[in-house]
Amino acid sequence: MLNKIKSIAITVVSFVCLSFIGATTSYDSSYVQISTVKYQGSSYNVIYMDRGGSGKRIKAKYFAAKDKYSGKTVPQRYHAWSKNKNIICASSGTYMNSFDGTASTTKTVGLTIDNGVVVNQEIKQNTMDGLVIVYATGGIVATDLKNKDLKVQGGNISGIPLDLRGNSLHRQSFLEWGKDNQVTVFQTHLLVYDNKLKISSSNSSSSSRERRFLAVGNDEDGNLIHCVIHSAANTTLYDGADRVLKFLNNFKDMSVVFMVNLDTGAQDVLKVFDENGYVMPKLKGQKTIDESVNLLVYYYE
Amino acid sequence: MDKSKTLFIRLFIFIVIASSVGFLILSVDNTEFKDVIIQNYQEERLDISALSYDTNDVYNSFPYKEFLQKINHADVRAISKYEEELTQRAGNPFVSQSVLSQALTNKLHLERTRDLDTLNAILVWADKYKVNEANSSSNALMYKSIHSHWYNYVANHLDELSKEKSSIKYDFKFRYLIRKCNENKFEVMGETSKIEKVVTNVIDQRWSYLFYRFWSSTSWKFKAILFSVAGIGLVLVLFGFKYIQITYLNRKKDA
Repeated sequence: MLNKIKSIAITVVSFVCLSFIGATTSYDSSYVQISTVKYQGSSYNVIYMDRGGSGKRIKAKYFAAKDKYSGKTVPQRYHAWSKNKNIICASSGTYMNSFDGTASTTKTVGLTIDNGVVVNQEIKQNTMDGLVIVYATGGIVATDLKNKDLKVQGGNISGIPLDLRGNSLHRQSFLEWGKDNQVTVFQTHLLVYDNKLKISSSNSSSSSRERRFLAVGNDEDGNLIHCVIHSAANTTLYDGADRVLKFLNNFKDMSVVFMVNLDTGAQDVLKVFDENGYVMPKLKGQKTIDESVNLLVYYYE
Repeated sequence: MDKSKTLFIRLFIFIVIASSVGFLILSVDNTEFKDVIIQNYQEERLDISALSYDTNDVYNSFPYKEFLQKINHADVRAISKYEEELTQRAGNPFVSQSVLSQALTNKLHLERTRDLDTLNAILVWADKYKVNEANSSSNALMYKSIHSHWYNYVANHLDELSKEKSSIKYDFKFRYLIRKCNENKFEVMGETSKIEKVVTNVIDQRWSYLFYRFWSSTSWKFKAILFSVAGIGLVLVLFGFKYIQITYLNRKKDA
């Protein structure tokens, strides 16, 4: 009888302790809202992050490639880095090189710098107009390469409008700046810039599939919002971007500064955590983080 | 499974593999690179002070065409000397480096074809401007910009070529150029055909993903055609087995 009481007491205590551990808040849900919304017949999974309102405690981190010095792959880097971090979500980022199918050697497509290390110098000339810069502070900016007006702070190119495609001295100086400032840079399809759609049905992929986008903009109060939107329905790139822009403008009252595409192809990775730090099993990609080639991660600090 | 069935399946697989490999071998170009001359060659070094331009606006007034016609494009030491002379006149090394970088990149109209021999010749020439620890100097940024401009040019062309003809990636010349670009951190994407994607997924045994992609990304017409072909194939295979069985049994009876 005594043993029975003992075991019941242990079970109750363990349950209470585990409940407390489980209830540890991972992020402030007043600044991060994860929802599934139906708008004009389409369903969207939305990870809406109020970076401005949170006092910039919501941060982004991008893993572009295998670590040059330690040899750690992207999943290994992510696992080591994410310990004691309050992760909000992790998604595959830009497109990958398809000549070698293995995740450990595959590299990103287009100009890429990972934490100051140049991964790929090739700047795509006729496609992928978006160049995304992820700062060590957790901020993200993007530029339309066609505008030839990227300005960075620091170094001998500070404040000069850079034409990265047309002027190789600018490009080289930018790479040197990226190394010195340990920034992370990747190139991808620019879908929206200055709240205007930048692609059309004639100059974008016609294949129909699920879509995922990263949109950064301002809400009606002017707060800086970062938003990952996943559309499970199969659409073309143009159709998907057009619908999501309308959804953000009209339903979320968000003015979009830029929106870029996140790859849902052969490296479709998505992992989302709720405010208690639990994985949300229904919101996931086709592949696991251990199979990722590059990762865009949002976390709360 | 009886002997006739196994034999029939083996024969079928052998024919499919042999014809695919045969087609691949016949269509791949394994010839070596041809010599292509792309750059200007001049014995004598140009007297840069003889060129006329506005020293207050060197970048826009520099006679790029005349300069390029009178210099040896591959003489890196001479280019370095021109940079020194230009800096003395313009008073700013960034301006003179911008001018020479512009001259040897955007203003230099090399043989702009996408033929692989020419692309190789461009890389061989561009390698003269490669900066390493041995030749690192105050002009390193200018050299790097020239080197990377032409590698970027070739890498973009290789991408376009592989988009137009995905089987080109098996050609020796193409693979060599890709390797050369990759060694210099220009990661060419290349194009994977739909069939190659299917084969990769079959190798990876991603059956549910394959079915999902097939179901969600193909039209009803395609699905109907594929099911019809599969149905007809199945019927033919079954009748084939039956035919072999009957023939085999008849032969046995006759014997």
